Amino acid sequence: MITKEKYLQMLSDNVVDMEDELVGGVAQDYIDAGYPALEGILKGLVDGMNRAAVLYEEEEYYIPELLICSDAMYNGLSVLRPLLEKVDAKEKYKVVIGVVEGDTHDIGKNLVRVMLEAAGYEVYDLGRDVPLQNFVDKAKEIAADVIAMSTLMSTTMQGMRKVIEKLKEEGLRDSVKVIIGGAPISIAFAQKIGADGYSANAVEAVKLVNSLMENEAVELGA
Amino acid sequence: MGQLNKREITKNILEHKGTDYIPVMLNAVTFSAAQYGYSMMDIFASSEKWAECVMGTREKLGFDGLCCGNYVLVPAMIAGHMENSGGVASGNGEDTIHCLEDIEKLKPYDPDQCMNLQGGLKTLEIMRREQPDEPAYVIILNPASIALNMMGGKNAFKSMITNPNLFITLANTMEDMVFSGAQKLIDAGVDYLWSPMPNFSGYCISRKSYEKCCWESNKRFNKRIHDAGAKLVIHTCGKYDDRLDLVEQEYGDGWHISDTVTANIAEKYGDKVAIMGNIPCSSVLMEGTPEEVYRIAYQDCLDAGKNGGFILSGDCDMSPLTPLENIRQVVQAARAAEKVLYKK
Repeated sequence: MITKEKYLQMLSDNVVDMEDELVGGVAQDYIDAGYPALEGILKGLVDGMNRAAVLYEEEEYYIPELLICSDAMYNGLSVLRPLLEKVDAKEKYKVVIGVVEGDTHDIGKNLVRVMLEAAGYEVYDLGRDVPLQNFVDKAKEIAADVIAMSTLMSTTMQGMRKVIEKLKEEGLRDSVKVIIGGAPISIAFAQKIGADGYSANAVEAVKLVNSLMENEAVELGA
Repeated sequence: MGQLNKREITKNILEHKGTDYIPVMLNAVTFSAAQYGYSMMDIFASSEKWAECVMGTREKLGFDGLCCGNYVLVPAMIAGHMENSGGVASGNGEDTIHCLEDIEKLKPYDPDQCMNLQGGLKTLEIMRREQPDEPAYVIILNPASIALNMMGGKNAFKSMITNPNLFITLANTMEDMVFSGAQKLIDAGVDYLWSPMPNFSGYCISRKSYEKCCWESNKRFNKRIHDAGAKLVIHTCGKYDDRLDLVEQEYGDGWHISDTVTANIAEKYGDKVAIMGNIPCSSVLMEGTPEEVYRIAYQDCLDAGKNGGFILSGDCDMSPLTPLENIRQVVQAARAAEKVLYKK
């Protein structure tokens, strides 16, 4: 009989070790042994993703490794998530995320989404090359707490400023935090367009959103 | 400058012979197109428009060098017919190679039929006629960079960990095709090839992945360019400090650096390669004040120009939104630095 703790360690290890093909089987064995799905997600899969994030910060892991870790996490989630009991979980903060119009580079955005989901946020991914008004409309529709925008290109970064202007025009700016990121983006640019924060990578983005949601005094640039 | 024209000066810089002139060469194609109200589609489709806006903008603002082409569309010709991950014919050949069998579906490449390459050659001809003393260069994607595009970013990155043989095989397959076009450019007399070589950048892949999947291909391809007698500037796009010892062995005559400290690179490698860069295009050139731009550009010249092996530039492609005055400040900074460095 494998203990719950051993299974949780295996789930976590499968994620951080990029075992995307093995993790589903471990998750199924964990459930068959009668252990709770929620704990498997939080203390197994998400723990593994958090460990991967630490390795990324330490420059041991890079984007290829994170991508495979996230695949492993989602493969495990596909087994465990349908078995979650319906409980009155505390309300999650909602994040609208996307790559701004004119740009189709979405790997960074996808990693931010994965890390935010692993951190417990409810993420609405608008995809890439997103018309600017869509950020505003989606934020209004779901009463978003955060809008996260990225771009890899200097030609499209001004779209971020326009989204902030649109939020102001529609009276939504005070109710939603705006964070931005991407290769040409800087703290100075974030300040200039009136964003609430900038982060250089996916791991820092989660720290930034955590800080903003805790309503702490946050300096631009996590 | 003495009796040398700017093409000869650039050649001297790339051969580490030293000069008393600091060329200002900005990657300003999208900027130039915007100045003339052209889209990138417009100038890719017309050598005349490309040449008009690039030459006109250079002349108006006083910087040096002409980009006469962007040789990046080989995948469109050989894999445009293939389906991408979305299940539709890609058109551009990107995100079409997901297994070794897909490589066998590629069409042959004929540089004489490649519109992208032929357009660049025609643009070079126009530029040579109109501004014969200006150094002309072509942006060229190397085989590893093309392999990344053809696999799609996510698939390529994952392949580097789970199936490196696929990435390496595809890069190897691309080598002869890309070089056949490069040879045409060299034969036409382009002054140098500018290659955003490891264009997936030190922010994206580890040194280990770079060494395993890209390095051998880069060395082999660049050596062919080197042996053909051409000059090559490698653009180390992103954070490369941890692997510059590898790049040093990749036959670059110059390094166009970014996201690093110019003085450090010049001190460590300045006697081996020419240095190009390194004004941040976004935070400084586009967003900075003219005073900031001048100060940073001037300091870059002092940090890397003392032996004459330096080309002042942005750290990457210049935004179309860059203020004109900021570009003028870059040129003025180079001229002022020459007086100090070379006692002109």
